[in-house]
Amino acid sequence: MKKRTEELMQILEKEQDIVSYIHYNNEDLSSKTLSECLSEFLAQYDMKKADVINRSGLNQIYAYQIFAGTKNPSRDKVIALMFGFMMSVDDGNVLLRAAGMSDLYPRDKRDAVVIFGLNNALDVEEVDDLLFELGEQTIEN
Amino acid sequence: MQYATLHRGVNFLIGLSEKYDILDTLSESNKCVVMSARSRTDGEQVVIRVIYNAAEGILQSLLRVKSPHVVQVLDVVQDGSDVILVEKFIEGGTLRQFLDNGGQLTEDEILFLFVQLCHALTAIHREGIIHRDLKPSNIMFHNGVAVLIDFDVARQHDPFQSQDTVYMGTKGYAAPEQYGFAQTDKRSDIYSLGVVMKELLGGRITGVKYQDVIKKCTQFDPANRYQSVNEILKELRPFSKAGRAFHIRQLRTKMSVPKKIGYVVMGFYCLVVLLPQPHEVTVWDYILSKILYLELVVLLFVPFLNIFHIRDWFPFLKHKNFLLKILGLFLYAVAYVVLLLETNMIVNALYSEQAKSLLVS
Repeated sequence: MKKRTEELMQILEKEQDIVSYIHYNNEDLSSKTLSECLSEFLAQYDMKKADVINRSGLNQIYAYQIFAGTKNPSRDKVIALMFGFMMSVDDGNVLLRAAGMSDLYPRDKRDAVVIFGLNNALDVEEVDDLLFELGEQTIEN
Repeated sequence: MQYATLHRGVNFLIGLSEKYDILDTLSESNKCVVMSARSRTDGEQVVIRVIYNAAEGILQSLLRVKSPHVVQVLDVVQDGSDVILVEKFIEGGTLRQFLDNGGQLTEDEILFLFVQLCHALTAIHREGIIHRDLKPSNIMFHNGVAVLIDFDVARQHDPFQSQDTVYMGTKGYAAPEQYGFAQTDKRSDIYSLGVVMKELLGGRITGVKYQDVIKKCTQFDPANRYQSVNEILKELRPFSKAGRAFHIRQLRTKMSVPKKIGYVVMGFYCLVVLLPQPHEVTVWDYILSKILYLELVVLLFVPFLNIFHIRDWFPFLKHKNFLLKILGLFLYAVAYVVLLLETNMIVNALYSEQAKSLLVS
């Protein structure tokens, strides 16, 4: 079982030796690439890449390149993939972190709509409609 | 012939999406993804191949390859580290599918194939491209013509490199040097070609008239193989004279959905017309009558389902020009009516007297 971020933060606050911290918490330190992360989620969610891509609404060629690790997507494209997976918010944040991006932030209005969408299993188009109605920028596909 | 153009960057990727509707993902691996797509302008079906981390150098060379035995590249784009190829869609099956379906070729047919693949390799080697993955699943057939596909692991020969850094190819077909002993060059493709020929001959080449050619192709040491494909062609020439006249028979191919539906509809009508009619008094009357009716139904479907490979020999049916194709269909319609009238006349003359009287009344 992986340690929660808060747990790691507490350990780090008390830790005097950074080498020892890295040594003992190595398994919990994320060093996966986005591409590796996406592959793991495919297995975890037992989904086909083509289905995830179709649901994400992304350009198929570009999406395959993201999976292959030859493209560095924008934050919106990673969010589109979250909807492709029909992911939980926690898993979505894992993806964002692997892509070197900030977590979904509930204090941010636009992110809050995305979180609401993921929690309520909305599809990309439905979330886009919601964002549009609320005067926020739609997810860039 | 449409000439391919080289494009670069994201703009072309957007253009690509506007130009083609992606229909389906055909195959996917860690090297590439292959999709079928349809042109929005002329409805032509194409294959889009995204090759990850592909060498840029190969692009210009691929554009220059012009051979009926190498898949025609319509568009190429270098997109970051990837290469996106738009290729002409080849109707037909692969040699792998043919073999898996229990298909067998005669010695002369294999020779014919051998020669065609030599021409394919000549065309790519001339541009400095080494295929590196020649195998039955990368050889397609269209109207009896073998076409080499899949340049995913192809590379350009670098005379200054002593060995390949990454092993690529398919076990069983790849030359020994592809496992890292030395740099691959055109002799690696010659090795794979020999292995494919051996497989087609069922693994037994003893007694085959061109056995020595295959043996020399598959030598472990590249120095002992043919040094160029032209050398193979020269050696095959005496054998291939006899085989020049024959055509490789159409390999069993995967049937498209509309074609399947066409066959089902035709089958249904055939069953309907087989129902006995009042004027078919004797068995002989029944047979005669059904010959006429079946001709009426089957010949109607012939040009659309390409039965008897009619598009290959009937005038204009295969023509690219739409109006000439319509002319071809019109000519076929005339031939259809004439043939039916003639058959009707003959059948009517041969009916029994009772049938004739029933038909008159």
